[in-house]
Parts: sequence; structure tokens; C-alpha cells
Amino acid sequence: MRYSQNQTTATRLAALALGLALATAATAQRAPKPEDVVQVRVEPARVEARADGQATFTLVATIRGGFHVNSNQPLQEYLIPTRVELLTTELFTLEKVDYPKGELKSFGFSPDEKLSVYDGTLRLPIALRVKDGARNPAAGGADAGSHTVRLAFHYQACNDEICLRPTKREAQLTVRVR
Amino acid sequence: MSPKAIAILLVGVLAVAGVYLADRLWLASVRGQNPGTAGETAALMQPLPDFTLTTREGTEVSLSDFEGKVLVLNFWATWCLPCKVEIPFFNKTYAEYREQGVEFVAVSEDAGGWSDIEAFVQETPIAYPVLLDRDESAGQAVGGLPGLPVTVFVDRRGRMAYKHVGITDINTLRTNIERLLESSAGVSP
Repeated sequence: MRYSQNQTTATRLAALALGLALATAATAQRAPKPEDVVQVRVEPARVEARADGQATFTLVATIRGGFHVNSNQPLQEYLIPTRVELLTTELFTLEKVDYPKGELKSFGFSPDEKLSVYDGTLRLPIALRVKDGARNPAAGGADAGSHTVRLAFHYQACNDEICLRPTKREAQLTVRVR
Repeated sequence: MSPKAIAILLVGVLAVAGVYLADRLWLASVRGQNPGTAGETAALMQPLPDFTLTTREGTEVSLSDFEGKVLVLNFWATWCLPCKVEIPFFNKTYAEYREQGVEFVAVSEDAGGWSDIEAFVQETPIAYPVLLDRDESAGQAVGGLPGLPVTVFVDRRGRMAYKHVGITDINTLRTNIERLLESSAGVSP
């Protein structure tokens, strides 16, 4: 008898939990803040500039499920491309960012039109170049050592229904200059 | 199921319920009853604070200028493809209802201003006035823009009657306009 009562109670509680989980999931569908759609990090977080002054690393951007960002070369000229900006420009220049080719996809709001987009996890190999004054201690030795380098990942995200304002996320790494 | 398992389940359920209720209360406190989810239309009947937008020529246009008219405010931007997709629906609906005193305004949220807008409207004509929300005050006045597009239906008394977040369709436009025309039939235009 007690077992049966417990079973009924458990079934009711499980139904309630399911209902609440569904309601919570529905809540989670509401539009997030633009800056919460993408997380960025740099791998590795510390690099050493080579003898020729080049430092290489990868920026990893993780795009929230259900959202996409435009590729670096969107097919429509009025769409905002994804791009990386070097914010620490005193000692370094942004030599190269290997933007992958966007994936051609159509979305519910425009099923007949293809867009060039990124979604999921995006890996961007990046090369920085140390400016001459920094890489040659003899020419200005104070710049030799470890430097914090800041980068901005600019993007504009949409899902099947709405587009969020253009925004950016920042990441940083340490570059050791000999 | 043992009493211990039931107790653990109960704690879990209460925790989820707590998070959910806190989230709902937070939403209600910061957004009133505005929808934050794409595809939602909320019935509101909230008085709107007056706000000012600018034309290409720099003329200021205020919400209060539309008093006595049913007004459809479509918040959009050139970088928003769903916004572009729905513009033909707005052009068509505007043509259907303008004789009944219904006004439409395309409220641009473009940070780049008129240089962005002008290039865009050459390719995608907009049949009703395009105004710039330079300081985002219009977006704030309607309770915030969780994304674009957002369409706000204002009744003849200047109240935000409906707010639709996300791409809309011609039936939603017609239905909400018809409701406002019917509900304010006794109010002088």
C-alpha cells in the first residue's frame, strides 16, 4: 500500500518536474544579450615570438546553439562580416587571420536565399608581427619581455527569427618577445 | 521509489521551480509584460512615453505627432535580414490601410545612420516614412528591443497595444491593425 502511494507521488512529482523543465526550456529560448551569444578564448594563452618576429596562435569562438554569425565574407553586402581586430597596436601588428570559408545555409526567415555563415565552434589561426622596436632589444630594449595582447572578435548574430545588435567579445594572450 | 529518492526528487523539483520563478519575476520587473522571445506577440495596452525620431533631412518627428491614429512602428536595421524579408509585407499592408488613417513608420536602429539606410532602401524600397532612432530612445520607450525586427502597434490613444518580437507576417499585421481599428472605432481620428 505504502509502496503504491510512493509510486503515485513519485509519478506526480516526475510530471511536475517535466512540466517545469519544459517551462524553463521555453524561458531559455528568449533572446539572449548579443554579447552572450559568443564565447572567445585564445589557444595557447601564452606564446613566444619567433626570431623573425612572428607569433602564432588560434582564436576559438564558440557560437551559442541556434544562432549563427555572418562569415568574414557574407554574400549580401549589407550584412556585417565577422572580423578580428588587434587592440594592442603599440608593439604588434595583425599580420594574418585565416578566416574559414562560411557555410552556405538558408534560414526560416528566407528559405530561398543562401547566407554565408559560421556556427558552432570557429577556429581562427592568427599571426601577429612584432614591430621592430619591440623585437630588437638593442633598438629599444625596454619592449623585450612578456606583453599582454588584446583582441576583439566582432560579430553580428541571428537565429531563425531575430537578429541581435552587432557587438564584440575580447580575448587576450601573453606574447613573450625576446 | 524509496522515501529518500522521493525527497531528493522533491528538492530537485523545488530548485528548478525556484530558478524558474525567480527568472519570471526578474523578467516581469525589468521588462513589464513585454515579450522577449522571438515570435511572440504580447497584448499590452501600455501608455508610451513620447520620443523623437529624425528624418533624413533632420526634421524631428515625435510619437505625439501621430495622436489619434493607429500607428505601426517597425524597428529594423539594414544588417537584419529578417527585417528585409518582412518589408514587402509592410508595404502591402500600408497600401491596404493608409486610407483608413493607419500610419506606418520604419524605425531604423542603424548605428551607421543615413549612409547605411540610403543605400539599402535603393535596393529595397520602403513605401512609408523611414526615421532614425539615433539615440535608441524609441527602442527604450517600447520596453527595449531584445533583437530585430520588432513591431509595435499603437492605438489612437498613444498606447502600445501589441508588441511582436521577431519576423512577422501579413496575417499578423492585418489582424492586429483590424483589432485596433475596431477597438478605437469610437475614438476620433
